[in-house]
Amino acid sequence: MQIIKNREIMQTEWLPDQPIQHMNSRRQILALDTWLEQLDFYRTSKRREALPGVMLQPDENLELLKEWLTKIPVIAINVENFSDGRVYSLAFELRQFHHYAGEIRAIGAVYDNLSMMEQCGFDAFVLREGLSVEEAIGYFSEIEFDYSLRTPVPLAD
Amino acid sequence: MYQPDSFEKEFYQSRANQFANQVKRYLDGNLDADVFQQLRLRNGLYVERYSPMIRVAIPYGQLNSEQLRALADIADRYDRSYGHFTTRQNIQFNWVTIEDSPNLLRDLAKVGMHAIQTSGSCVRNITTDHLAGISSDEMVDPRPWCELIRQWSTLHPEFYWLPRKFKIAISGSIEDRAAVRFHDIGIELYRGPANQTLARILVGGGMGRTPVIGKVLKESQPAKNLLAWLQAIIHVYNKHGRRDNKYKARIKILVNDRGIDRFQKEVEGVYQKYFELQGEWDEKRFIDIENSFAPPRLDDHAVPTNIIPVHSNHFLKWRETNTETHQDPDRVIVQLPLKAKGVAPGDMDSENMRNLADIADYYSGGEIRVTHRQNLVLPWVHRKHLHAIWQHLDEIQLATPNLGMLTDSIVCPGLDYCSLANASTIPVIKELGVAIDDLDRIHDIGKISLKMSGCMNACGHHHAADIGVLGVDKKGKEWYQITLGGDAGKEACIGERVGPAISRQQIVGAILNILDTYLDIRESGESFGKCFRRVGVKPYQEKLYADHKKSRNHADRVAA
Repeated sequence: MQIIKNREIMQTEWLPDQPIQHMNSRRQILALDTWLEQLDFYRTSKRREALPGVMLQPDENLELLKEWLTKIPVIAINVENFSDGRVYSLAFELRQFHHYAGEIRAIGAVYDNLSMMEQCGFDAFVLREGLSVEEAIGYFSEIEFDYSLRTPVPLAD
Repeated sequence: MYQPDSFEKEFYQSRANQFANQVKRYLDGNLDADVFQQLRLRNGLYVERYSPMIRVAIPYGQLNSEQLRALADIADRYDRSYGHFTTRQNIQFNWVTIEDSPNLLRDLAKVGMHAIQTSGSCVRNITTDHLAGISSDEMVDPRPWCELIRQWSTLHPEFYWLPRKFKIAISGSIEDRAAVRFHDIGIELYRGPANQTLARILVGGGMGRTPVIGKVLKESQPAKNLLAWLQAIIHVYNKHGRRDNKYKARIKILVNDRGIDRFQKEVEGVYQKYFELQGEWDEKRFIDIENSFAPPRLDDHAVPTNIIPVHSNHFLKWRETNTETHQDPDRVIVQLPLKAKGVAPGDMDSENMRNLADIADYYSGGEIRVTHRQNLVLPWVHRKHLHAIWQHLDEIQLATPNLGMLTDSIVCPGLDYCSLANASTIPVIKELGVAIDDLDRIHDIGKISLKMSGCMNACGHHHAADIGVLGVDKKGKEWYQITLGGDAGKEACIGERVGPAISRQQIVGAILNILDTYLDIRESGESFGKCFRRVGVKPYQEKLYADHKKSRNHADRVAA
């Protein structure tokens, strides 16, 4: 699957919505419920150091994930609605309050607002179907201006 | 006053270019209509009843003469040669096209103006006291703080998609002229014992269909921590404000649902995190902002010899009504009500914009202010020029001596322009102006606030008026609800309904009826608000509906 990651077009092996029997395939992104159901398994499994990715909805609470964050390589956030600002706060919390260092991927209604998403901590984007990925790369640099008094939001490594 | 630098002008230009690209994709069918709607709203572009409208930001209501001339050019080039000043100290152009709008924005950028976040669910223009920096009752000049918050909130990445629009107002004087208690966040600045700047932060006030007076969230906070407080408050709102029902989406509903104590605890929890993130306070940068608000260099020309001062009654009345005491004893604050008879409140044509720009250059250091009462102010007029400036202003109909009086009413555009409106507002006010076309009578009534909104959104701030009028729709007909005794100041309160709605035919008569009752029952020198607190709604109610019934019976008899 093609995504934009760190402002470049690339392929990803981390895929959402795989059926549960593919648990052994290492590069999965599971809905939070499913992911939590497997918690006991992770605790005992050899896979403790490389857990599956998690898919979060805009209203989800990060408390349940807190202790696992260093082990989760990918967190996808479902942008249900283009104008739903909760996903921005969610990404901001992950990066700034919880120091999450893995990939934060936006999926769903992802259109023009890539630059602001990036400033909040998103570093990967799956565009809404039908949009040109090549053109979208340009959206990051349409406006290169920032008032310096704003809380600095460093990009993820 | 604050002047945008070349980087900012470039930023506004690149923003206009970005929007041009979005418009093109939309018109080519390559951008979904609902996505484009959100993008255009954040560039000030509404699609109104008859035409698209663009709302241009005037940060905390400050303009220079070059900008006013540019607005005049825009009015000629893209609109029908006039603009409409709004209750958020902005200006609207009511007859623009979607295709032209990117070029309009590019023209604005050249003079350091823009339309960013003048609509849509985001932080809107920061408003403040229109007499900031010049009023005689000022404790702290709020403008540098407004500018700080303006910069911080412009394209804020985390807070660009809030549940609903978000309005912040700041006041730093004894009298509150910014209606901070009716804002999502209201800030009052004052001095602490060591002369440090402190802030009282109020949250959850607002008008609209559920008028609420803001509640104190924090007292005595060092003002330099304001941004961390704002971030914490808006973060909690962004996460938990309702998004399922736009009538329940403002922060006042969240604060009321949770209760101020619980809301405060939640905010305090997040505040600490933002406080740690924000790092050291950048004193130097703030001082730079403060310095940009130093008074303009004023050239106090000699009084022109060709103007012979004749202290007519007109002049004296104007001086008494439309001017105010300045911090500087040599200067006077000159108010320009945009409420001449027969003109829609807040409207100004391009010719007058240019005339006023010339007057401002000569007499007021090139500075003009917009008030939330839809008037303009010349902030730096020398005492010795008062008579000369009055003559200039009188020639261009900007010297109507009605500041703060009945005909200086606040009115939203209503059914004439707005697609949300239930009823017309401007024709009602014009009709009232004709019915009471007598300056002596208006002066006899004295200071009084009449505010009118064409729908529940309350853009005319009718809840916070001595006499508030709200347009409602009843089976496709225009009706009006009257509320009395509201106040936007420190004693903020919400107007009380007088009774059942009044029809379009009878609303002007009803307003006159209420005024008559007030004149009958007021004690000497008693303001409408004071009188209302003494007697309540009852005498108004009785008189209004008794007379109303009489006239209806009369109409029935005539019809029979």
